[in-house]
Amino acid sequence: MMYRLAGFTGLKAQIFKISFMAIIDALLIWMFFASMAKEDSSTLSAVIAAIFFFTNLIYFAKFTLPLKFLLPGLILLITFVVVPVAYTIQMSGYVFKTGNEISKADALPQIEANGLTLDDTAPTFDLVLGKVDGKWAALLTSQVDQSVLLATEEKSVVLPAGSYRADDLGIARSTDGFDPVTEDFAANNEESIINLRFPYKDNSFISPQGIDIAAVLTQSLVYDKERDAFTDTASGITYIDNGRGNYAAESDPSMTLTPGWRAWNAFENYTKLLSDPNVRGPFIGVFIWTVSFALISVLMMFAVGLLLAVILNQKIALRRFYRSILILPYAIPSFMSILIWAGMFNRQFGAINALFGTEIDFFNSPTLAKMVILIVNLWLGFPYFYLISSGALQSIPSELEEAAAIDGANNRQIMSKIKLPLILQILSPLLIASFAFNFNNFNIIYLLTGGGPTNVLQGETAGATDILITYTYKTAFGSQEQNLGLASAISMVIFLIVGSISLWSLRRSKVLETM
Amino acid sequence: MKKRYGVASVIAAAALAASAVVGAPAQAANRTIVVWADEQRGPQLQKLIDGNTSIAPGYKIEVKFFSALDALQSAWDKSTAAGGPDVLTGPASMASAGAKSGKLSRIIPSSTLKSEIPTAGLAAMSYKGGIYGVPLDVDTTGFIWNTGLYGATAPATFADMVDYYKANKSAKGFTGGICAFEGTWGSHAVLTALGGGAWDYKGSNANYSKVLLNSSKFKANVDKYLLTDGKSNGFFQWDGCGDAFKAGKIPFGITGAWNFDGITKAGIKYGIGATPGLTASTKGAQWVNYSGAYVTSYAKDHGVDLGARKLVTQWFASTEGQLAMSQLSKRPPASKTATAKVTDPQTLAVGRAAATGTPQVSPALDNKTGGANWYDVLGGVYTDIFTKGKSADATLDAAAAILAKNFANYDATN
Amino acid sequence: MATNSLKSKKIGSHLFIWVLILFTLFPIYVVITSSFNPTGSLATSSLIPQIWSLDNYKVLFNNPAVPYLTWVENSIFLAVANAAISVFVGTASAFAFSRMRFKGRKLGLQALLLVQVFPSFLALAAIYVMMERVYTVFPAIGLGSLGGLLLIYLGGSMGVNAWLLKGYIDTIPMELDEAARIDGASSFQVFWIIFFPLAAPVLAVTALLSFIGTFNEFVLASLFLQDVHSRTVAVGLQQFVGQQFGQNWGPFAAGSLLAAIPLVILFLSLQRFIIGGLTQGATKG
Repeated sequence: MMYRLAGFTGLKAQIFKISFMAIIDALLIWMFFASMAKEDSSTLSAVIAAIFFFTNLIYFAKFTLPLKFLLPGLILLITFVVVPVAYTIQMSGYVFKTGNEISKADALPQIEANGLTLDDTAPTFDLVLGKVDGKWAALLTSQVDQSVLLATEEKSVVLPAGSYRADDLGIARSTDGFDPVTEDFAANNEESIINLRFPYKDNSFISPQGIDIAAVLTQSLVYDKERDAFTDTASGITYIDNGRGNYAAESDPSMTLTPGWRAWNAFENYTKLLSDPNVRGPFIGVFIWTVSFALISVLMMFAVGLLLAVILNQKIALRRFYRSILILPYAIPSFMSILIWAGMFNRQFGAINALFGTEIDFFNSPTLAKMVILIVNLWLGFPYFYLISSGALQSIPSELEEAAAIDGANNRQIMSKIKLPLILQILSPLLIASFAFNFNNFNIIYLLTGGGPTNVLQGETAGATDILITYTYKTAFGSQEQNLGLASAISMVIFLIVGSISLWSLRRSKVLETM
Repeated sequence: MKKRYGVASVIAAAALAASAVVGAPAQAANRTIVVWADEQRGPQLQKLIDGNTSIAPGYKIEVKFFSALDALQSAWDKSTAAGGPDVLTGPASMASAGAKSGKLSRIIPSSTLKSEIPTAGLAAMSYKGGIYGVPLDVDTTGFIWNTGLYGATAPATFADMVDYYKANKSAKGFTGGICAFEGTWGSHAVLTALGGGAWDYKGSNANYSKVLLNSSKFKANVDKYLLTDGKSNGFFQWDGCGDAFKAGKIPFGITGAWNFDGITKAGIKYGIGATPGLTASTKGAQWVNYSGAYVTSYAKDHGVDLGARKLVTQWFASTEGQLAMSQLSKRPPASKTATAKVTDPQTLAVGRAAATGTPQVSPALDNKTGGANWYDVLGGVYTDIFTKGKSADATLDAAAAILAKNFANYDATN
Repeated sequence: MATNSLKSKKIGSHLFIWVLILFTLFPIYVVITSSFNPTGSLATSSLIPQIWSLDNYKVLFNNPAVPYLTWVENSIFLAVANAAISVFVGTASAFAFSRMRFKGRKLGLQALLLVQVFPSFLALAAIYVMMERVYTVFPAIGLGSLGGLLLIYLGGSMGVNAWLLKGYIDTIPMELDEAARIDGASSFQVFWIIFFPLAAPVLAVTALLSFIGTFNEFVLASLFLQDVHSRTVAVGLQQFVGQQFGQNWGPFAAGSLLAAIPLVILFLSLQRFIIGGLTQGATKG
């Protein structure tokens, strides 16, 4: 092997490396320019530039040998895991929910636009856009009485009948001094058209509401940049920034303008988690079930898996056959098995009820639903535990067992005093990993019970089988009203819990010291 | 030494390669209006307007459809101006949420549009006095009965149905009497037929302070028609019972246009009408919802605001557009002229049924100030009364207490 | 007495195994019979099928609304690409962690562990916004594309794979690479020529697990792949069977069965490696 390798050193390797890097660099440079050419993609450009810089630095400088191996993984991990996680953490500090989603800069023009009131006394107009003396103008035909206006940005004049040419539908198309523009031209100049305001009466103006339609509007909500406040011209109410993503009336803070925006309020979501009974109440119950679900699941799977491993480690008939069948659940994609189990537990048509001739409503009883989840999870998970226990059993030196047998220990003693502690020691990292996995086992809950049953009539907002992650999912995305800020805060709490459990147990199992 | 050459040659080669690509002239930007739709409407719209450049001259229309309404909703919830749509189509609930969050632009309806679209349709597209979309078609259910079992004439009263069910239950192996295919949403006609419902009306105005779900009339009728000795008599089914109807095991049903094909394919012959009420002259009222087309606020960022408005107000809202969509979807159109021109008998039948319906005020029904929204509360009620056999009166009172909070909150904030 | 208790123990063992086998096989039996039941709905499925037919399978291949083969192709593309690339890149990282001593190594490993336990799909909204941006510039790797989803999967599997593989590499004796180094091999050569072949069986296992994991994933995929034709089997079948189990139960069972069979074969043929592979990581983890 070494000789084959010898050919791949020196110049050849160098050329290979250089051309490989050249391709990567070319790709990155192209991506960088392509991204720079688009608006609003400075972050993306910066990311590409950073990848370019570090890739070249690391592969051409000598001092960074481990990084050469780590870099590809590191780039993927940072870009697609760490950055979203960081963004989620950041989101948890914002009022970020339905009604408060866009940025303040985007919200301002919309509040202004919402402050436009349609003048109900005035007609809507069929609009023909054009130019008068090179400036935007409009030929407007009233949809009510077919009277015609010629409007420029300075003034609008009623045209007497006969001074314009109308089409079959009675819409004025042209008049002297007015050059109609083509619809293509208008489309390509949309940005200037949407801001056109042709004066109509004292405070009202005519504004295009499409390429060939216009309406009479008044601005009833006026923005004062100095004070960062809106004033309603009709009622005189002033709305000021309430620090939580809305303009609220000075006199009555519950009166707010829409839309709001996502506003920085570092602790709002966390305090809500602690103080709002609607959130806190279910949170504690859900937390307890999450821990018990993960713990019981792991213990059950481990017990069954280990027992199976002990039995199948002996020389019994049909051993290989048994093994092949018993690891099937691990090989079948779990989303399918879960859905199939869900169908099997159906009250009316499920195979389980058909088998026993009953009509038990498994998913409507909290206790039964929990049991179903544990049973299905056992089905999904015991083969994995069988496999790892079996591997662990085989890795225990047989001398240990023989020595104990000579000392007069019986099989049961050997198992409980010698093998079990060893197996536990070997498998503890996997058991903990499994606990962490089940702690966040979204699929089984979501696909099997959807978190239910929820006794809404008793005022429950979380289901009996909801675990933290499904509860969070519901909070964030589950209904018409989503609350990303609060969901991010819950994610952070979950992260802190699972992270500290993992780190603590890792320290305890002394894995870190041997690393 | 070697290293330096390496770096230099790599950079040179890379720059050369990249500049060749970047140097290519950028394509002229064409103004494309992106329309989002779900898996049902999407293919229909694709057939009708994808690639069209004449509806809004100067703009090209592109229809993108999602694999399910859920997927559409989920993507819309998370979308930003970077990749969001210019025109969105979907249920009326999108209007209020989108308007609240500033993701939709207000539409100023022309006089013609106002006269064409029923007031209830425009109201469904409104939020705080502004209109945010145009109604496309009516989402509602009709009452259907298996003509092979019951005969060609529709039952006249609710009692007729219950009596027929009880008399033939064992002989024909019925697993239920009436099936609300669409669960709690679809079951509304049954509630209203029995004197229940969400909120009361004063004339044509909703009176949100009076919840009907625990009215004494409704309590009495639940007991009379749906229960036997406090337990469900099996007549009312709402959970996954559609298959049983298709198998001829349930004689009556409530569903919409989207299920008709499937029922016909299953070999069931059926009539369509309004849900029979307590007397021959009263009918149950189903939810009537509208789907709409909305101009998003992203359209302005993409420079297609005017085109998107034109598409929405002058094609989606037009008689021609609504008829074309209705022909493919079998849903009754929203505009008056288009409704008058519908010829398809099924669409007509559902359209007529819709006339007796109740406007579905989604923000009120989705409100969950009391802890859960209308649909979840109703699901709890059905489970408790019909599956678990709990006291109907107490259950309805508990439910009404939650709903009263929801509706009061909606009423106060709107 | 002794033989008696031994005998009863043996009977007990067999009994336990047979109960477990019935438990294991029951759902599998239900899927198989449902998939051949011509009426195709849960309501009309029975434990012992009366008629056998291939109708449900025909739906998968003849119904344009159910582009099953396209879904399978998408799933296989994602699963294979993710398995291959993530194992390769992950091994490189694991190699560095296992064989090299550098500043921040321990910290790096701990950070890796922590990143893994973050409920990453709760970062869904963040990922969506990010990939939406990417889409506007590079549609092929942005929102809605298989390429973009692959990148996200790759990022997500880095942590797990690096940890698992580090455990395996630790079990390969140091002497081998020392000898190679004396022969003048560079680190890259040691990695490529010594480790890759030696670790091949465990790499295969990691790849297989990665493959199955990708095949199973549906939360990210259902948000990300919005078009009917870019869906994966998991998303396609899940949305197809829908909230109401009744209607498409038969085709769902057929689709699941077809998708599971190759996986099961792959799994059974590799089972010997899997047992070794799974624990090796742990014993030295």
